[in-house]
Amino acid sequence: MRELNVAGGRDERTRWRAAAHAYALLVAAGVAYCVARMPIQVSDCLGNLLQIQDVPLARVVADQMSARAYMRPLLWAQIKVVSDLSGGHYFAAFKTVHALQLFTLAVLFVRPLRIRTALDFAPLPLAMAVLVGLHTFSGTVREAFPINTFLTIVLCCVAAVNLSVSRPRAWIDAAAVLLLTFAVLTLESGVLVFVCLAAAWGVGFRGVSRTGIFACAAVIGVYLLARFAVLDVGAPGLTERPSGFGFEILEPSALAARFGDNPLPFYAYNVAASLLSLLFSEPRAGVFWAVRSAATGGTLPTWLVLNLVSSALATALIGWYVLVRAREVWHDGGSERDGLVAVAVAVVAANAAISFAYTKDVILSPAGVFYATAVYVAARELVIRTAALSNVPLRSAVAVLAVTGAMAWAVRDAAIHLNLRQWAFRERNQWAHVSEWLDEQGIRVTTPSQRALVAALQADALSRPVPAPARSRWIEWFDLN
Amino acid sequence: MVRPELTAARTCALAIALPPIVVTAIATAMLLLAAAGDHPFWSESRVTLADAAAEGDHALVLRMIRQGHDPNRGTGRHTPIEYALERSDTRLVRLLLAHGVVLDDKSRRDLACRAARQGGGEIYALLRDGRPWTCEGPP
Repeated sequence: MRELNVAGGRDERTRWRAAAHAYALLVAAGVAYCVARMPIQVSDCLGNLLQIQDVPLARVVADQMSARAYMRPLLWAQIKVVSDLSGGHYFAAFKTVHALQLFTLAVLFVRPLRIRTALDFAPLPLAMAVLVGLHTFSGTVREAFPINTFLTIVLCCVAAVNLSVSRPRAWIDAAAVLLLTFAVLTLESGVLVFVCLAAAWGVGFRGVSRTGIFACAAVIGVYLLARFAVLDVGAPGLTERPSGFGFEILEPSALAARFGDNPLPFYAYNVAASLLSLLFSEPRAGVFWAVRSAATGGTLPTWLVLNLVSSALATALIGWYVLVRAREVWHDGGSERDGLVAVAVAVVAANAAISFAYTKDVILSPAGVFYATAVYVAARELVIRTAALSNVPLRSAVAVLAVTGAMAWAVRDAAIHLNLRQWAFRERNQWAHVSEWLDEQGIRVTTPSQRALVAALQADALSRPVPAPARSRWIEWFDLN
Repeated sequence: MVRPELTAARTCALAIALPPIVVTAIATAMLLLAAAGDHPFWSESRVTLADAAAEGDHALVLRMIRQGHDPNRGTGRHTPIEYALERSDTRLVRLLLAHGVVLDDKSRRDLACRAARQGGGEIYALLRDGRPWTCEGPP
């Protein structure tokens, strides 16, 4: 056991750390390659790009500060800056940003895990498979607006934890405040950055000082004051979009009819559904597909069974870890890795809570990444404790469960490549009908720069080689939703 | 002599690590192949406009038409618009009609009536386009 657990020397520690980063970057490269092959999408993207053409940056930001229901000035500022810097090479510019986001996520995900030995390295492939294979991740790579802001928030959350686990330095507090400000002005779920910082401080990470935490709390206070009292932006209502409920998706009118007088049950449902979705991959976007299928006597598709089994095993692993470590932590104090699990629990709970108005897989993407962190820590502990088991049948049973879970997650990991390929085909087809889409949306392309933008993006999309969706009975093993 | 607990730890570590490593190794191999030539998982193998229509590949159909391929030319079994009809793909039918598919009145009526039999009311309407015939009666 010691042979696996104890690093020989500085060189060996460096070697395992480098191996961990290299592995994570390889996984990111595989996903980034598929992202780079996908055309920029039409819906939720072309309209955004047209909107910022011929408008100065300051105006883009100012318009967002006076919007209703949403306040995302830096989201639009990022799109504007990248678009202007692209020099007309929109595809290259936005795809470069997306790929860089993925590589940064890989590095920031690995760093707090403190991988120094073979034992530390062993659970990393599983954790990366959970990170990439979890259903909350696909939305961060499949779509872009044309910058995927959900991935931006994921990065901000992981960066916050990286700051927290660093050695305390004067600039870290300032960086934490800037990061939080950037996140909340990009997307509403940016408040999760504060949850990461506060939870990390609460469990003993001191990279960000108490003063830094208070400063961040002040940022949240100012943000809420500005949003609700000064600018009167408010929050999205019930009738903004369709939402999953029970076994079906309800249209805004149905939501208003059912919950217009008292939305609290709907909000409670969304929080519970988000939490269950993270832990068990069911429901998805508020709809209990597997339960519905089972209740109506239908056959569950293989991918759905794999999702349920893999998530149940991973959640059970984390639950087991929390149970066995809770008493030890109570008596002997916790380790840095225990702290990471505690932060993960806080982020999962907070992410579910902020999904009260609307639940969707990609909104849960920050929690999904922290779930992968918790799986890493728990799997590492499992390896250590399995070695100490004297009961051979029990040891074998653990090994069988471990390999079952790892194989299921490997299939989910592989699904992301197929998912992106199918999505690319679908998105590229949209570009063949872009004029119709613009008419349907009531978007008028009037200025020469707008016309040039549409022409450039369409020409780029059509020229991109994308294979037809794969047709094989093996397809049903992969979650393409 | 290897201690039993070390073997157990190694077995458990391998059980957890190997499956995802295999997936990553395959993805990496494909990336390396892509660096040398075409990515095996992302290669676009269709060569004719009719093949593209048969796959429902609207983008490739439009690209090939813009490159000068004849949208009326079929391969073996069907023409592109017949493939679109076979797929009940209204948008592809509309795309082909808007980009140079020429149909004589008889072919148009045959296709429209076939669409109607398949339940493709929208395709029927697109093909008929106000012409003074119906699917009843002699052609």
